[in-house]
Amino acid sequence: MTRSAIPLPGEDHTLTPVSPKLLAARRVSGLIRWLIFLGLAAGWNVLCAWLEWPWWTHLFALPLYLLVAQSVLLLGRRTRAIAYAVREHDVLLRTGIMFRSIEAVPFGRVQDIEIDEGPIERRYGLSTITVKTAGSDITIPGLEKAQSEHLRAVILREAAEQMAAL
Amino acid sequence: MAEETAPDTPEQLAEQRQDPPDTEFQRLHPLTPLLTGWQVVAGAIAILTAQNISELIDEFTLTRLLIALGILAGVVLLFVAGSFIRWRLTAYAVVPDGVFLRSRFITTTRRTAPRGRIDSVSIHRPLVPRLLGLAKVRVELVGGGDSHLDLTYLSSARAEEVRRRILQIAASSSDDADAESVPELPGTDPEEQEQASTADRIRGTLLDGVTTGTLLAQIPTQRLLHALMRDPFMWFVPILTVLVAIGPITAMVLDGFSMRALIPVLTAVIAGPKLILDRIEKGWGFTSRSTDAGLRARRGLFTTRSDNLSADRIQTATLRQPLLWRDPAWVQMDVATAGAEDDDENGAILPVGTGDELVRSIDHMLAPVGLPIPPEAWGAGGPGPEDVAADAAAETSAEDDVAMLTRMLRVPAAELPGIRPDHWLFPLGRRFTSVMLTPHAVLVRSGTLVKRIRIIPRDRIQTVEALEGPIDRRIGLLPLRVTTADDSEVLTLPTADALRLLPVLHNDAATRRRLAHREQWARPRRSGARATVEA
Repeated sequence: MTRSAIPLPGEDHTLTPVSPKLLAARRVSGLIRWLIFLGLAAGWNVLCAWLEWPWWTHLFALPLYLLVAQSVLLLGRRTRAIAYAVREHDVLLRTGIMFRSIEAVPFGRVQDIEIDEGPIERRYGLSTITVKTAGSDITIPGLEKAQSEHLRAVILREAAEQMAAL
Repeated sequence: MAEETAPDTPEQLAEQRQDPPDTEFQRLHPLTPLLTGWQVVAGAIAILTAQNISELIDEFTLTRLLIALGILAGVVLLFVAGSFIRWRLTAYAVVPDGVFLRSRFITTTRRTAPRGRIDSVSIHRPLVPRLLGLAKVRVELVGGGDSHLDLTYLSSARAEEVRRRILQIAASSSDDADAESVPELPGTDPEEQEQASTADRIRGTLLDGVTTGTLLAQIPTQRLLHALMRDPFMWFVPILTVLVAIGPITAMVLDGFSMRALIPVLTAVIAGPKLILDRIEKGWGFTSRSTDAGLRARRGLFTTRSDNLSADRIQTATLRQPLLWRDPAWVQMDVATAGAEDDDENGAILPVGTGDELVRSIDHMLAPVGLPIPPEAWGAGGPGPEDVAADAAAETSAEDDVAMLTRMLRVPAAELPGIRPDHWLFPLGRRFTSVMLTPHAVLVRSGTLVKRIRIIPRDRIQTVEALEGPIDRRIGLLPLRVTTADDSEVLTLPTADALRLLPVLHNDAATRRRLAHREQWARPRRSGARATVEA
């Protein structure tokens, strides 16, 4: 593959990867979703067999299987690809392996910060921080509690100092 | 809230809410209930008839008609009575603290437009209220979303008065201003207006009061209609209308007349011309002037509106030129403000302007654009915010900007001083799209039949995202998504150029519009407010 303009977390020491515990948390929450989807798909197959519909009706379940398969296979890579950095003027978030993105949110543009903890995240001691601007928002998942509180404090302080108008 | 601060008496409660005294509150115009009640009923009838028209026609008898009319009259009466009670219980107040609107109908609602958040005031005159001499005053508030407060309806003269008063209040910056200390804006003294001659007054009525300030543009009806004929949009609408109508009509010819088949035809026949009418409305009798409170524009044929727009609110601007507008050198200029959900607010501040009108509009409403920076020098990014003031002397004039922009609308992308996605995967993009950087703005030229230039002022950029898909990676592109408070734009650039531009844009977003450096912000060369201060 050609060299990418957007580095992976391991390739760039300035980026902080999110907690490795996030992968475990996502596996648990993913498991529930996967089981529901697999159940739906299998249910469809059973229904088709039971009503003796033509063979190709079974194929309608295929997208669901593929959805679950790619989610299971790529979850690890996707999760490990998430990293962030706090720079002088902004916060960077990088995500994705195939479709890579690196987004910068300047402190001065921050309108609102939100910290969320879902039930599964809480069990692993993790939280998610959402930084909102008048334009787009970034969501950094898988932060240790202390880490997210610190990040929030830093962003709030810098946002007050560097505040910009719309 | 803590218990001990809970108020005991209504007076204390009012005090705590900082409501103005009851004497300040006034009712809306007494004709309001007739108008609002009528609208609800008309809407309901329209929907019911449209859905059941075939049954209605099939089972038509005189008795049924009379019964229906009786029910209708009853419903209308009920709604008008309801609206009347609502009107009795609704009142507004314009006081130095802001604008208050309260309604005690069924539920008590109180809406407040605090002085500090008032952004602009526009007056809308829909057709029926306009015939009755009524108008709606819309107070726009700072911030996105549902951020306006409507006073529906006031008499036309009262609406003008209220508009002036609100603008005065918004302009007074001192925190403890009372009614007397609100400064009068020059040229808005009511007495002065009364002394004006009859001819002036007629002119004022025709132009909905947009008569003061520097004239920026005034669009003759002939030019507007001429321009619309030359706009591809105007050809596609009738073609689409015919295409939609053709199926049901053939069906009717073959299978005989049926009401059910007629409905899509009617919809198309109504919707198509409505799109065209909307365009005509947007430009009819368009007049814009630069005043102390920003741009003041009036437009509309049946439904007229006059808006106020301060240059400060403009996030991005777009120039639009259909191919056939080239010869007369006409350009449309649209601007977008924050909170773009309300499409009403974003509009053409020049529906079809000549070069001179464009120069004046840009001069008063947009910060200087400046000359394009050659792509090789993008890394340097041109002057930073601290150098902007120093470079002001070397700035281009509005004429230069317009000359450059109109040229950009004409020439092929290869001749533009910018970067284009030069790859066969972008057969149209490589020929027509170009991304340019100037000291003050990012310019994106695009479009084939209708050319567009999106002007994204560099100080309005909120966030920047670099996104790279597998195909981009293979062909060496790195698209950048630039988000403003209004919208986002993806710049498709080769990786090397994108990587040079990225840190520049990051820095712009972070530093160019800091409140701490307010005096260094990019501003329009000429704005009404500043001109008065200097004078």
